[in-house]
Parts: sequence; structure tokens; C-alpha cells
Amino acid sequence: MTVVKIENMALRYEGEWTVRPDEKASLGCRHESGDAADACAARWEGYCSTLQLYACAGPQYGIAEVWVDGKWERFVDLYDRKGSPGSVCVMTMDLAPGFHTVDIQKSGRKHPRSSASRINIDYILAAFVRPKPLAFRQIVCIGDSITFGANVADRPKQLFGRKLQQMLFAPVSVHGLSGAPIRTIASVLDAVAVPRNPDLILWLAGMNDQDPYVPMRQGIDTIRELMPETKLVVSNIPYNTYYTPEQNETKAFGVMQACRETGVPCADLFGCTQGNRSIHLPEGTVHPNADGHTLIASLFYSEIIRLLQS
Amino acid sequence: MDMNAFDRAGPPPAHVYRPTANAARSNPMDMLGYARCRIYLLASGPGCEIDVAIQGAPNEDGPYLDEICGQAKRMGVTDSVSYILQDISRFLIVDASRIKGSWTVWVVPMLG
Repeated sequence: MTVVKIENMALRYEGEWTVRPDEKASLGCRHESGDAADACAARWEGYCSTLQLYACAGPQYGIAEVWVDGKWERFVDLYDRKGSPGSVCVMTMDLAPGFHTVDIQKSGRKHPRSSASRINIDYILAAFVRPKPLAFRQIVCIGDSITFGANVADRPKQLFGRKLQQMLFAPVSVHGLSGAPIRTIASVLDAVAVPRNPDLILWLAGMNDQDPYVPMRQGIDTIRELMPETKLVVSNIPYNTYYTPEQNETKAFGVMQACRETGVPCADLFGCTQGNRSIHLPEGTVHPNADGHTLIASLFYSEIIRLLQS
Repeated sequence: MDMNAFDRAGPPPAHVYRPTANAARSNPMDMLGYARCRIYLLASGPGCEIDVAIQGAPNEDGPYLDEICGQAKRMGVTDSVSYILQDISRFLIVDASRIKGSWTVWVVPMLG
């Protein structure tokens, strides 16, 4: 059994939610719903057998509803008179091994002593099970120094590629070229990716290109020419303070635009990590640490699951 | 885990590594099914210099020891060069030091 942390940034949200910085939270932030009566929901989908929800309990929190596969499962009361010293496990749920959709919703109800009905989410611990039928035979990760793991102490174990290997139960071959722009990465695909005959390529792209839109379009074309049967999922760059906001937006949106125009699924890592500096510690530049790689793995996993379900 | 030499008839599954100050040690490269490989040290231009040691292990976690081939250590390389390693381990790591300029290292398994 493989247990992996699904960070709150990797869930899909509906309604009014705020990313609340909290140094005691995983990767330095939690998602917190609004107080208004509006519906607020967070969703995660995947192949799993056990789920644990971690959140902050306190005097200002209300009651969450948990729905599994579209059916109401239970209430989770986040009220605590003193407040928890950090995130605590507020729910453990055993499920039949297989594909599940989990929705965590604000019920609008609260403990009589609670001051508000808002809810919050720090992370989910999921015990992953093998997708059935087995989704992929061979996966190749390509990219730059982020894919390589330049800020990851325990390589290759903590790389997002290796975490996806555990989550998807399929071998993942990782190829990160430090400092390489998209054109350079595309130029080695025939020697690095083609011989491995992957049925899925994961590409985190854009950090080393001033404007990645054109090279990304060309890179996608290259993959489709070389490996027409191979599926492709892309991610844009993480938030960082090394480049200016304008530079980062050009990099992030250039990749997303190229993907959108070519029908390639793209994880919005940039959008999910806006303002988050915890993912780059201790280096403090552009490279996510091991926890950041876990987040990247979760985002890729969600895109892959959506691809499989479509 | 990579495809091995007996699983396919196409070109060998190459590894490419770009050593930098904060990435001076490559990730493990799986050479399953191959006894030899060719190393290409490619300099980006004049003024480049690098020391390269190839280390090997029977499993991915190591520990990694210097490969036994006489070519396993190359010190003071200043220009692009390629060479062959014999009797290689299942997993290889490229350990680079004294990196001046920009280098690209290819590790390409060889049949035969």
C-alpha cells in the first residue's frame, strides 16, 4: 500500500475559499471556506482504499459534510473549544479499493458554541491502489532542473516522478536536464523518450524560456510526430520569487496556452502555488523541495485521472 | 525501471545529464541488460573544465562505488570527448566536480 499526501492546493474547489498562510500547516497554508451561506466544496478523485482528512480544529469552525461517490457519508465537526495546535486528523475512512470521488462540503451547520460555520482543509492522506485496468505500462518524465530534483535532498525517491510511480503502480523513468530550455529538451526526445516506448509522457515546462509559447507548441508537435500513440500531460512552473511576476506569468501562461490550443491536459502548478514560498525551502529560488514534489505529483495525478475518465 | 536491451529492437534508451553547482551528482541511470556504455562529455565552448567520476551500484539505492573500468574517472577535461565503459553496474551515477562552463553528459548503453 502506498500512502501519499494530497496537499490542499491539489484539490478542486467550488465556492468561496481562501488560501490561509499557516506556518504549522503542510506547505505553509490551508484552504479555508468563507462564512457566507454560499455552497463551498472541495473534490478529489483517485484510486484509493483509505482516506484521512487533516484540518485545523478550533472555536470558529463548523461542520463539514463528506460525500463519497455522490453519496453522503458523514459529518465532520471541526469545532474545538481551545483550538488544535496545528492540523489534526479529523476523519479516517476505509473504502472498497478502487476509484472514488470524495467531496468535502461546508454544511452551513455548526456546534452551538462555535462562532462560525466555516471549514478548512490542510491535506488528505490517501492509500493508493492500482488502477484497474492498469492504466500505463511505461511513463517517462521530461523537464528541467525541477524534474531533476535540484532542491530535493533524497533523490530519486522524493522526485514527483517516483511518487507517481507509486501512485499509478507503473514504472516511471525520470529525465530532468538542468538549465535546459524547451527546445533542448525536445531535441533529446528521440534518444531519451522514444526508445523507452512510453504510453504516457509527463512534462513540467517553461522555467528556462523567456516566452515558452512557441517552443512548447513545437515540443508538443515533436512528441506527436515521434510517438503518435503516446499520451502527454504537461505542468507549468511553480510560483517563485526568482523571476518577476510578469516574467513568471509569461512562462506559466505561455505553457498553458500552448497546451490549450493543442488539446493537451495541463496542470496549473503556477496557479496552485501562488504566493507560496514554503515549496522552495531551503534553497529559496525556483526549485521545489520534496514536499513541493509531492504536490506536483498530486497535480499530475489529478490530470491523469481526468484523462483516463474522459 | 527502464526497458532493457532484450525488450526492444530500436535505439538504446539514453540518459542525459546537465551538471550544475547545485546538481553535481546525477540521478541513478538504469542500465538493465547492458554490459557497456558510451559516455559523451560535451562542452558548450572554450573555457570549460570538469572532473567526472562514474559510480555504480547493483540497486538504485546504492551504495555507489567507483566503476572498475579504467575510464571511470576523468579529471581536468577541457573539451568534448567520448569514451566507453566496460563491465558496468546495473545503476550508474555521474559525479561531477570542478565544473567550469556548461556541460552536457550523455550516458548511452551499448549492445554487443
